[in-house]
Amino acid sequence: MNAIEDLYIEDLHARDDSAPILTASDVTRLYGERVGCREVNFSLWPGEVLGIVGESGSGKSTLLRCLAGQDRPTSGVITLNFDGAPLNLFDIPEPRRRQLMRTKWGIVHQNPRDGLRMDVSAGGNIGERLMDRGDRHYGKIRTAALDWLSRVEIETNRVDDYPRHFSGGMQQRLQLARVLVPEPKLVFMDEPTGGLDVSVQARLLDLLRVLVRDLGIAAIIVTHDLAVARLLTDRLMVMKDGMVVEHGLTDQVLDDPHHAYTQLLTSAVLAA
Amino acid sequence: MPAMIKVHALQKHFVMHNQGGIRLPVFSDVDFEVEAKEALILHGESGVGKTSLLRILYGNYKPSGGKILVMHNDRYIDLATTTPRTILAVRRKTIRYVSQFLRVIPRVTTLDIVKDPLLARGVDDATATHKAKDLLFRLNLAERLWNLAPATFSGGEQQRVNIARCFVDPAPIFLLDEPTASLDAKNRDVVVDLISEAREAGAAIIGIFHDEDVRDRVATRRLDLTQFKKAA
Repeated sequence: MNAIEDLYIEDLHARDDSAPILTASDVTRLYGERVGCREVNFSLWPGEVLGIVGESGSGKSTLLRCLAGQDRPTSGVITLNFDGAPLNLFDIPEPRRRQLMRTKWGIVHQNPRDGLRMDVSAGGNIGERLMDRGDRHYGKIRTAALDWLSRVEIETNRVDDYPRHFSGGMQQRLQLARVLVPEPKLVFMDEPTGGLDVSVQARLLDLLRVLVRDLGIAAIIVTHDLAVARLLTDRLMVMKDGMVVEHGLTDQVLDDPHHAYTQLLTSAVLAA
Repeated sequence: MPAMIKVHALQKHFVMHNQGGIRLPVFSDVDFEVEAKEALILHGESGVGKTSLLRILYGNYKPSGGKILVMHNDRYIDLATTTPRTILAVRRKTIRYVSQFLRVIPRVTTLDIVKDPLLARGVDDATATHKAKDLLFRLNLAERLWNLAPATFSGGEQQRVNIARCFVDPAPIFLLDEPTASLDAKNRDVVVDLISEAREAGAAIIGIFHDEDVRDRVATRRLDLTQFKKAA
């Protein structure tokens, strides 16, 4: 019998020494008197999936918009680190931030119509992102588009069809392909399975999980669905009234919640 | 033999904030160590905290006090105080856990579920597939089920998927919560063999087994939790 050491396969995904890809320090967004989110602190490492849960109005979408560079926080700092050179997200010029948004990170919207160009073919929706990155070779772009369609389980003969002729689930998968084709290091998702039928949700969940794992992407997923959070995320932040009330390992937060609000949230769910 | 896991002054209670802040004690002053090549069986009546203890050792429940030192990458890490990231790393490399129930994404096939822990550690697909199939075959799970999602499987079939997922990628520590509860005699024997092989190869086992026969065949030592319940 082998010694137990021989039974190990070296952990290729061990990333113990790496620096966080994103750090939020005291991020606060106020809308006049009203609190969007307040004093949010956390770090996200490469390959990690963080969930943010809470009811509507808890500030989770506001926080996501700040983290993704779409909404400037009232105070606090968001630091991104893609290649060993940390940068302060709201300290860089707008054009540079926009360029980074198209190449280094991606945003998956709840409504695929917000993330897709509905008057551009499926292949065009994917290819456009490669052209943003500087790719010019038509054949290569076309090949990449076909490859990504099959990765998100869309028949490749739909490449020239418009997304408006796709079902909701297909549109969402196309959006995923459009976001992932430039190989971002970081992806933000706002209720990615929100508007979908339960059966379509399951397929998308598995697809998301596999893509995130295989590409080593770090992701932040906002959802109000605790089952989605359990299946997709490593760590979980629970928000209420703009504040993070509990933060930890996803299964620990869901199975042994400590804050009164988290206990209420987890006990209110029908077991499935 | 070095201790693979050392538990010191461990205590756990739940506080139910929405039920008048009631405090539910589970246990306190739990002390034990488990070395490599040992199999410690947790003992005591239902409600004594056996499953809670296993969940704490896996990082699934948060201890209310005490230390849980786990040998990870040749040094001890205290699961009670470490970061979620470290717990995830410990789970990938050092600890395997078989829960009483299988919890997976709907529609994912049995083969993919069993391969997953290997793929998550960066093992190539061919190797992962090969290992997963070997184990499913050994656990007598009919081949026609491998490409189906386990949602419609019987309790015993689901349990074998759960066991396969745990043993496909052996680790220095195994936490087993009634892994043989719904298995027939033939498959119970397979699981007992898997556990014994892992132990002889150097793993430390901590488990809950209600079947007296299985308990006798697996255990090298027993720990009765009743004493700690009284202390809580």
